[in-house]
Amino acid sequence: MNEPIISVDNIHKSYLMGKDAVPALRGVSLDIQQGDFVCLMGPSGSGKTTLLNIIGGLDEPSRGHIVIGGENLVALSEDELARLRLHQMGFIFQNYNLLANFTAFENVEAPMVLARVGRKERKERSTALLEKVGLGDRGHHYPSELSGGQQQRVAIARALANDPPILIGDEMTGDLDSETGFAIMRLIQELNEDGMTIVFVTHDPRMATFAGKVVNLRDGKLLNELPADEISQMEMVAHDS
Amino acid sequence: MILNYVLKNFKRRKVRTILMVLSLMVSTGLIVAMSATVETVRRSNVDLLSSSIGRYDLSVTKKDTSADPFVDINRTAPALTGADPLIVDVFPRLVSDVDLSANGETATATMIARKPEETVGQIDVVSGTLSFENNGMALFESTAEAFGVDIGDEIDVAYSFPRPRVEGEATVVGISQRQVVGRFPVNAIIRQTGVVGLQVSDGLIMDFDQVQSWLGLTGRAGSLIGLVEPELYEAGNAEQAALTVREVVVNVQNTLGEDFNYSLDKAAILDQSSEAFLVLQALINTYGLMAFGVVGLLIHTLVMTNVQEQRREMAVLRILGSQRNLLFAMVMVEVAVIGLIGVAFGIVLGQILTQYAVIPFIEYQMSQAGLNVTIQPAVSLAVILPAVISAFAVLFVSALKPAQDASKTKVMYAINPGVADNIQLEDLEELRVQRPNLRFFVIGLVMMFTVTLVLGLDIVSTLGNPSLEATIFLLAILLMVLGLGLVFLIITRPLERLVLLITGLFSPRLTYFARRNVGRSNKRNALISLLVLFSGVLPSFLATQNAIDTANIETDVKLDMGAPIELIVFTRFSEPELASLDWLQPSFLQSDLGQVEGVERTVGLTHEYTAGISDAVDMRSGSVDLQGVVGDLNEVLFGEMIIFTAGDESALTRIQTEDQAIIISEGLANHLAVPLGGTIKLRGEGLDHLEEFTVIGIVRRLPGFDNFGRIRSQAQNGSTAFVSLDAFHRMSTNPKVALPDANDPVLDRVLATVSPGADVNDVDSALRGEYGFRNRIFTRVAEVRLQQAQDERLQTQLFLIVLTLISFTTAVFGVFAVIYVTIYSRRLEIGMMKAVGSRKWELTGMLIVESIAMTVSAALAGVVAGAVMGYTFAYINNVTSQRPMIFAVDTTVMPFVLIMVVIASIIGTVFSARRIVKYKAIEILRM
Ligand SMILES: Nc1ncnc2c1ncn2[C@@H]1O[C@H](COP(=O)(O)OP(=O)(O)OP(=O)(O)O)[C@@H](O)[C@H]1O
Ligand SMILES: [Mg+2]
Repeated sequence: MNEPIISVDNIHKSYLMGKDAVPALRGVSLDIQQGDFVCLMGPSGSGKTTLLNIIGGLDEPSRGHIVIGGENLVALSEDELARLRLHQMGFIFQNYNLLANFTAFENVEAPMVLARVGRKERKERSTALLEKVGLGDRGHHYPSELSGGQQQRVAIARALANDPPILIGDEMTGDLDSETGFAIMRLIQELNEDGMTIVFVTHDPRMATFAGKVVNLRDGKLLNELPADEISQMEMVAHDS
Repeated sequence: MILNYVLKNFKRRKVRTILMVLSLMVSTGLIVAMSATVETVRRSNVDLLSSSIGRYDLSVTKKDTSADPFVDINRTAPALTGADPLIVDVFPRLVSDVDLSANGETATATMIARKPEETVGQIDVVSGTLSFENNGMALFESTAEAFGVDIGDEIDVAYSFPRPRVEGEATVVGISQRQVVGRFPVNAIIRQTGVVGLQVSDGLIMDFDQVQSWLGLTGRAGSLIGLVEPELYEAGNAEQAALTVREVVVNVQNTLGEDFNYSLDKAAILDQSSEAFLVLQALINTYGLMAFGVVGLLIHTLVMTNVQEQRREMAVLRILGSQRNLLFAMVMVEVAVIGLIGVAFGIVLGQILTQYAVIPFIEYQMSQAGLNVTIQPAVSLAVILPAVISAFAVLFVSALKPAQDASKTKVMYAINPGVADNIQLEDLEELRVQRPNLRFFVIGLVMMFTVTLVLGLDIVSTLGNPSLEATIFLLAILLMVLGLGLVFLIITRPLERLVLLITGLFSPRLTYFARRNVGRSNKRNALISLLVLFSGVLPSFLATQNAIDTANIETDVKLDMGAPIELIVFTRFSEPELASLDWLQPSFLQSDLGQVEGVERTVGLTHEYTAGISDAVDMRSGSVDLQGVVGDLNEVLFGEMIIFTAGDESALTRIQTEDQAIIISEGLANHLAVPLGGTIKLRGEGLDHLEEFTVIGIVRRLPGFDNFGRIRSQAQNGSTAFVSLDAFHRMSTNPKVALPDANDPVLDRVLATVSPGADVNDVDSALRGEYGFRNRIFTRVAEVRLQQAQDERLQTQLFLIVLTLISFTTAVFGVFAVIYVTIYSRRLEIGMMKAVGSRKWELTGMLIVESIAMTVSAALAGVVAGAVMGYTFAYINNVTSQRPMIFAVDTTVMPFVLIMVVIASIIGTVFSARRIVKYKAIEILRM
C-alpha cells in the first residue's frame, strides 16, 4: 500500500470552557489514501466538525499528530498552514460562504489571485471550472442571484481553483433539498473518479452512500474502537430517527 | 431590566460604544469651546474695541467756533453727572497736539493731561515709575525711541492755544498763535491701551492739575469724558447698548446745550461690531449643526449595526412574549446612556479647551496687536445648553430609525435566520447600480441652484434683520457646500479607480480584492464618501483662495502701488486753497525726496481735477479726473504690468512736454468712440473754458492707477486721464484768474524707484524717518509691503490648518466608525478568506487598500469641489476688478487633508481589523 495522503495519529482535542476542558476528540487515528472518498458520520456533538477542521488545517489538535502530503501540520506556523490550505485543500461549507461582492466568476478566481496565478490562466481555469460544475453561463452573476444549489456549485468550483489534491466538505448538502443534494454529490463523485481525495461530513445516510468508506464517530472516538454494546445502542438511536 | 441589558451590550461592544461616546464628546466639546470663545470675546469685546479708540463712553468738548474753547469744569461736570443716572464717572482732560523737542529733534505728539485718579485704559510701565513728581511726564515708548531719550532726560513741550474759528470760515493756518513752552523730565516710559485711541502712536501723559497751572487754565479743561454703567454692556446686545448710550448723550445734550460737541466713538464702534458678532455666532451654529450631523450619521450607523446583530436575540425576546415597546425602549435607552456620558465629558472637554487653549491663544493674538487684555472665560449655562439640546435632538433622531427597526423584529429571525438574513431584493438592486448615484447629483444641483437664487436675487438683504441675514447667508453657504459636495460625489467613482490603479501598481493582489469591495458596496461607501467629502470642501475652498491670494500678492502690491516707492499726501482740507497747504511742490521731487539715500528716480502726480470731457462735436460726453504728470512715468512704473490698447509706453514720456496731448482709458475711449490720434474736448474751471486735446495713448491697465480701465460704464464718469503739468494748471484754473506758478504745490502723490543695490529696509526707514513726523505724508516701499503681506499669509495658512484639523476631527471618527462597521459586518467573508488560505497581513492589507481607496477618493473629490469653488470666486472677483490673476494650487492644506485621511484610514483599519484578523478561520465562521 502507498503512503497515505492524510495520516491522523492518536489525536486529542479539548475545548476550554471557562475552567473546564470539554473533550471533543479522544484519541482518533485514521489513514486516508490518495483517491479515497471518506464520509464522517456520527450523532451531533460527536466531534465530526472538529476532526474535519483539524484535517483541513483550520484547527490544531491538543495532542497527537497529523501528516498531510508528508508535512506534519502540528509543526507548521499559521502562515505555512495558510499556504497549505491554499494549495492542498479545497473547502466547501454548509452555508456556501461565497464573497457577496464578487461575481460567481470572481469567487472562483479569488484563490488563484491569492496564489499569484497569472491573469490569463485565471480566466481560462475559472471558465473551465464553472463549465465543469454546470454554471458556464452564470459567471457574471452575484451569489445573491443564484439558488442554493447553484451557490454550492460555485463553492465547489472555487474549492477546485488551485487544483488541490484534497477536498473537504462539512454538511455541504445540509441546506439543500435532497434532489439538489444528490446532484451536488454526483458532482463530487465525478471529482473523486478523477482521482481527488474527498473527506466530508454528513448527517444524511443517503448522501453517505456516495462515499467509498464511512467512518463513524461517537463521543470523540472512532466507532470501531468502541465496545460492541455501545455500537448497537447507537445503531438503535439511528434507526429511531 | 432594560438598563441591565443595555449595560451588558456596552460590555459586549466596547469599541463601538467608546467610538460613539468619543465622537459625541469631541463634537460637543468643540462646540462648547467655540461658543464659549465667542461669548468670552463678546464680553471682552467692549474692552477690546474701546481700546482702539479710548475706553470711555462719551466725551464733551467745546465747538471750535465757541468763543471759549475750554470747558468750565465747575459748571459742566456736575451738569454732565446729573444728566443721566447711567453716567457713573466724569473726568476732565486736556488732550492736544504739542510740539516736542529733544536731542535736536522736533516732532508732533499728543499730550494727554489727565487726573491721576482717572481709571480709563491701562498703562504698562516699561521703565521708570509712573508718577508725576517734579512736573514729570510719562512718555510713550515709541516716542522715547524716536527721540532717543531715557528716564530723567528732559523734553521741551510747546503748546499752542487754540483760536476760535469764525463761523462759516476755515481755520487759517500758519498765523501766529499764542504758544507756551515748558521743559519737563521723563519719569516713566510706558505703553498704553485704551487711554487714548490706537492711532495715537506718539504721545505723553501728564498730570492734569500740573498742566492746568502750567497753562494758567484754572477751573477749565479741554474736554470732559464720561463713563456709563459698565453693566450696560454685559447685557449681550451691543446694538442695544450703543443705542442706550446714545439716549444718555441726548440727555446730556439737552442739559448742556448747543455750545458743545459730543462724541460717542465707543458706542458707534460697538454698534458696527455687533453685526460681525452675529455673523460669528451664526458661523459657529452652522458649524455645530454640521458637526452634529456627522456625529448623528455615525451613531445612526453604529446603532443600526447593533440592532442588526441583535436580531436573533430580539426575535427570541419576542417569542418569549416581550412587547414591541420594550425593544424600542431598549435601543433608545442605549443611545440615551451613551449621550449622557458623551455630552457630559464633552462639556468638560469644552471647558478645558476654552480655558487652556483658546483664551491663551486669543490673548497672545491681542498682545501681538498691541492690546494687553486679560480675558475671563465665560462658560455659562447659556453657552452649554444649546449644544446639549442639539446633541440630544440629533441623538434622538439618529436612534429613531434603528429603534423602530428593532421593534419591528419578526419572530422569523429566531426560527429560520437563513431566510430572514438573506440579502433582500433591494440590496441586490443596489449592488447592481455601479454607476455614480445620479439622484445625489440632481439633489446637489437643485441645492446649488437655490443658493444662487437666494444670493443672486439679494432677497436676504430685504429681511432687515442682521442676525437673520447672517444666519440665512451662512445656511446658504452651507447648502452650497452640501450641494457642491453632492454634485462632486459623482467623481468619487473615477477617483476611486484612479487610487486603485495606483495601489494596484504596488500591490496587485491586495488591490484585486479591494477593487471589488469598494466598487460594489454602495451604501456605506456613499456614507463614508460624503463624510470625508463635506469635511474637505470648506478647508480646500479657503486654502485655494489663500493660495491664489498668495500667488498674486506681488501682482496685487505692484498694481496697488504702481512703483517701488510711493508717497501719498493726506490733506486735511477739501477746499483746494487750503489743501495746497499740504500738497507738495514739484521741486520737492529733486530737492527733497531725491536727496534721501536709496531713492533714485522720482515722478510727481498732481491732485485730481474733475473736468468735463466730450468728443469733438459734443455728441458723447462725460467727466474725467485729470492728473498732471511731473517726470517720466516709464522710469518708475512697474513696466511689465502696463497695457496700452492703442499707442505705447512712449506716450507716458511724451505727455510731460506735449501740451495738447492726453492719455485716456480704454473705457473712456470706447465711450467717446475716439481712436488714437483723435480729438476730444475738455471743459475746465470757470465758464466757457474749452480746449481741444489729441489722444496720444489709450490705456487698458496702468499699475498704481485703478481708474484706468476697460469697463465703459465705469469710465463714463470718473476715469483717470493724464495731461502735462502746464495743461493741468490751465484746465484747473479759471481763465479769469492768473495761472499758478510752475512750482506751486499741487502734487498729492509721488512715485519713485529704489537705487540699485540699496537695502529696501533701510530706504523704508529712511523715508519714514524723513517724513514720518511730518504729518500727512504716508510712505510705502513695495518690497517691504510684499514682505509683510507674505508674513501675514503664513499666519493665515497656519489658521487654515487648524481649521482643517477641527473640521476633520469629526470626519475621522466617521471614517473610523464606517470602517469598523464594514469590517465587522464582513467577518464571515474574512473568515472564509482565511480558510481559503489568505494570511493575516494580506487580509489587513486588503482592508487598508479598500478604505484608502474610499476615503482618499472622497477627500480628493472634496478638495476638487472646494478648489473649483475657490477658483470660481476668485475668477469672478478678478473679472469684476479687472486684475490679472495667476491661478495657484494650494500646497499645504490639500496634502495635509490627504495625509490625514490616509493615516485615519490606516489606523482605523488596523484598529478595527486587528481582532478579527487574529481569530482563527473556524472561530470567525462560528460567530
Ligand atoms: N469552540 C468550541 N468551544 C467549546 N466546545 C466546542 C467548540 N466546538 C465544539 N465544541 C464541543 O466539541 C464537541 C464536538 O463538536 P463538533 O462541532 O465537532 O460536533 P459535530 O459532530 O460536528 O456535531 P454536529 O453534527 O452537531 O455538527 C461538542 O461537544 C461541542 O460542544
Ligand atoms: Mg458539525
